Amino acid sequence: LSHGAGGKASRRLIEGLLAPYFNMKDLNDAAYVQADQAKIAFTADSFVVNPLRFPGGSIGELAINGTVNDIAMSGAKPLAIVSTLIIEAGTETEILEAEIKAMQEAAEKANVAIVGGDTKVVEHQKADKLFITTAGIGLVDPRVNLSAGRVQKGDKIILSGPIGDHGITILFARGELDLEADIKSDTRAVWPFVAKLIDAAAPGLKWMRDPTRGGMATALNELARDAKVAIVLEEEAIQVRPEVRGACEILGLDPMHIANEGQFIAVVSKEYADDALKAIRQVPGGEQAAIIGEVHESDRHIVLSRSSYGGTRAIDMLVGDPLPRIC
Amino acid sequence: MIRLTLSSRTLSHTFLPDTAICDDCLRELFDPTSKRYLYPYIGCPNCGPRYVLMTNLPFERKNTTMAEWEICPSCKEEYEDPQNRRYHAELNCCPDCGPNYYLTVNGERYEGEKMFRRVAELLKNGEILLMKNNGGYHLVCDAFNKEAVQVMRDKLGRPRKSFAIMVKDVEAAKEIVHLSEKEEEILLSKKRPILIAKSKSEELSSIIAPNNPDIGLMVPYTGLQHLLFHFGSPRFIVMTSANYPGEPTIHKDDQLTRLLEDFQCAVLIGEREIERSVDDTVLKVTKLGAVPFRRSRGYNNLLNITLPSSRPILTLGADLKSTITLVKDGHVIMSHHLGDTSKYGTQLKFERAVKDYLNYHGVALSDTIIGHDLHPEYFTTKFAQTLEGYRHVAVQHHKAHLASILALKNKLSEPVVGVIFDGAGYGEDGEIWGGEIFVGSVQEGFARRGHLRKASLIGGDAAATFPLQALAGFIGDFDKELLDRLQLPEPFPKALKIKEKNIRTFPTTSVGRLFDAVAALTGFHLDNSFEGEAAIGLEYLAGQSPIVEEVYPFPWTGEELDYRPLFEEMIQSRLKGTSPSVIARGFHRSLAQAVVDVITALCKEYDTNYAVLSGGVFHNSLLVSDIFDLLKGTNIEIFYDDEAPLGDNCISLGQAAILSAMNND
Ligand SMILES: [Fe+3]
Ligand SMILES: [Mg+2]
Ligand SMILES: [Zn+2]
Ligand SMILES: [Zn+2]
Repeated sequence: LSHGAGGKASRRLIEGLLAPYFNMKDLNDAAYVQADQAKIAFTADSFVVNPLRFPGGSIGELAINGTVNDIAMSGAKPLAIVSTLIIEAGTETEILEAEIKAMQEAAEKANVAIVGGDTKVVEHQKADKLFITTAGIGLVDPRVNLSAGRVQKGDKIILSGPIGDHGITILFARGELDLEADIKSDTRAVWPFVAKLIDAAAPGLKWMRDPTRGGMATALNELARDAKVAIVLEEEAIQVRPEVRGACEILGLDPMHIANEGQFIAVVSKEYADDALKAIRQVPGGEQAAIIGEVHESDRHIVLSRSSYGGTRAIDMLVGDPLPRIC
Repeated sequence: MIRLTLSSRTLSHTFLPDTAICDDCLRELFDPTSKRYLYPYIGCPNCGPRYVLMTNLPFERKNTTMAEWEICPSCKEEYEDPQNRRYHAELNCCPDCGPNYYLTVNGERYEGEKMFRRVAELLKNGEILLMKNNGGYHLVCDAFNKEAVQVMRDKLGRPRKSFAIMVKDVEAAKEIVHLSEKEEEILLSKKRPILIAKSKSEELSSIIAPNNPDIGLMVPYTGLQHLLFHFGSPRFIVMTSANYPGEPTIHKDDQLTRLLEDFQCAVLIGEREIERSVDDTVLKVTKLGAVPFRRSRGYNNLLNITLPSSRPILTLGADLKSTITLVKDGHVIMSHHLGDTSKYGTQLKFERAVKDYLNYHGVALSDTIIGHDLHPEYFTTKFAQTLEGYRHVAVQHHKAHLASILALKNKLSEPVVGVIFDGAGYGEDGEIWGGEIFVGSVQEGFARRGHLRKASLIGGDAAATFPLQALAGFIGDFDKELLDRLQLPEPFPKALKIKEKNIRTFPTTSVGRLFDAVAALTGFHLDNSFEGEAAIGLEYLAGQSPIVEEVYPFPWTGEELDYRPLFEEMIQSRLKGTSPSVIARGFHRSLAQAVVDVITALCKEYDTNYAVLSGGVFHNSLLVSDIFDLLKGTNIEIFYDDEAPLGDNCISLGQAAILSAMNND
């Protein structure tokens, strides 16, 4: 198995193996559960990051933000989290304590409670220092109705801010490479933006996703496929910090394939798009949100990116580490 | 119905190439008594567009975009009269019944002679013109007008790449380039390619082809182009296909919107629809023949070879200079240059070409063996996998390069030594190859016998963009102090760090990157704004130093070409203050010597006298001419074909040759 990089390979794993066994129909980041009157969003995610700490964040912080963001992406206000820690025997207490503290701080910031969990210590080399699994629930806002099926021609694609910060930070941290001192992970909880977005544009809000592993390319390709549409992006509207762009250039990477931990994509109907954008921009940290593209009708369910000089490229999902191909 | 005879078999119908206007039509074009006097759509059974207008086979009017124009009685008479030279001219038309041209500029419309005079005036005033030719739109301006050319560069995002120019005739051509007899013949051939010839005019070169020893030029191939010159347009005009870099050339009037928004220029519109765009062919005469850089207009045709196969074969080529090849009943039909498939427009064009090739020739996909490159991430590979063929076969890139030459030479069973140098191709070991030495035959298969010593491809494709980064991949392990003394700018130091941490660093045997590295070492510190920029610059630089003053060691160890001594001495030479052009010249000779050493050793070892050179690196005429010089007096013969593409345009043909040699039942 080499399913770590996200994108096509992990999609194949989920759809080929898990979904049939578990009889899952909608493959979303979070599932909906009806509990009496309340609609609950329910999700779980596991975190394996190397290194554990990196500029801008750490595994503990990711474990909280990753899960609260999955809840937020289902249109729900995150309420509570339980967590499981798998600890490799011999891991220093200070390392552990730092991560527990990071989890607590992130939870506080995101306004969720950590209400329980479990820890297991496994033999040396049966884990890599620390793995964290978190599960969370959120209360679905009754005003939202998210479904790829509602996405249609003319809808706008909104992106919450610059992309690529997290993935490039991790890549550099892993290699102890200090090419650009100013890059740090964008890890954060996105619920505050989503809350305002729902207030401003709930009837027009159709789909959301946080483009983590596999980046924007993977998230949008999944949308194109599930909604049976083509997505056309305006490359110049997509914010990429100069440091990240520089790093991508020199590493032969496409920012669209790089992981993010604090951004999200929303599809909003044309009528609500401006209000939605304004709402996100008004929340501190959302100033760089932008409309980056549009949904088109097509029997090719693909993602295209237009730029003024580069022409129109088809943006594919990431298969793994991209291989050199320029002759 | 058109019948083409080939060997003893016949292929009842296939695509016909587009050819230049013939002398008879040209005479009529300027004969005031002719009914087609000054009529741009003049043509006859011997000349004019074909493939670009076809909507089906066989080639009959109803299967072309001329179908919508009803033939008048006078034209019909010519068509039906066996004595008339327009007997069975499928596209026959005249000003009374056929399409015409008109010019729109600032909302005004011009036709006829006024139109041509206005065009000439505009071009002389330094304006840019969009003009519909047979196979697509071109952007046109006065080639000596610096400002106009700069506007073109800015708007197309093409800062330094050369522009092809059109001149009225050979006399005009001789004012700006050196022409051999063979080159003159090619320039005037019915296929009318863009010929890359040695520049004579520093002034013109500095405007349209900076840092380039050559100028690409052609003479008119349509009545319309002749008319431009006739009515006083500048004698040297840029004639470049109307497209943003990498995108297909625009051939439909309704695709012009964006270009028109950008250029706000005059448009010369022809009323006849173009069914598909076909770019101008670009070729250069070297010791390896009239080598196409881009094999396209006039060359998209049935090849004069056969490939035995019990089933049809369809091969999808490479990714950046894509072509397809169809083998049916042994006949080989190779497409024109389809372009860079990273662009969506090219993907559509490519898919359409595949469909047309199969449909028009009545080939069922389910019966067809599909060949594609070994690279898992090529668009063409992924597209191949969506085709429900009889069987799929992946072919290694450099083996396809080698096989294509042997297919064209009809030497399928001849054992040879093959030296294949290019930028990158996916290797059988999953690494990035590009400096490959093979022995064997198409029939029996090729074995990789050696290669360039592995270097690092730092940042993958980024190393192809930044020559300094390529350089770090070759000399990164050298003594730190020595490297410091070279004082190389970014991205060299960054690339060294990336290599040291082994992030996104791939092993490679690419000779294309070797050229980039040497270009960087001798002063090319820009990025490659187009494919081969640094390498072309290096050949240009070497040309400034006509005599070989230095030669560097580049030993063949029996398994690899070891570039370390080469770089060590080039670096020493640079630090001594030797002029970059002397080093560049020395590098060419050293590489030529290395190639000759390999060929000589392996020909002996495998008891053959035949060698093949292929891959884009061999577009370099200085390198090739050095190799031929060094081989003089030996009994070794280099196989080459006069029209064989050395770049990736050849890959689909090579794949087809290799597939045909397999058991296809
Ligand atoms: Fe190649
Ligand atoms: Mg997640
Ligand atoms: Zn003619
Ligand atoms: Zn007529």
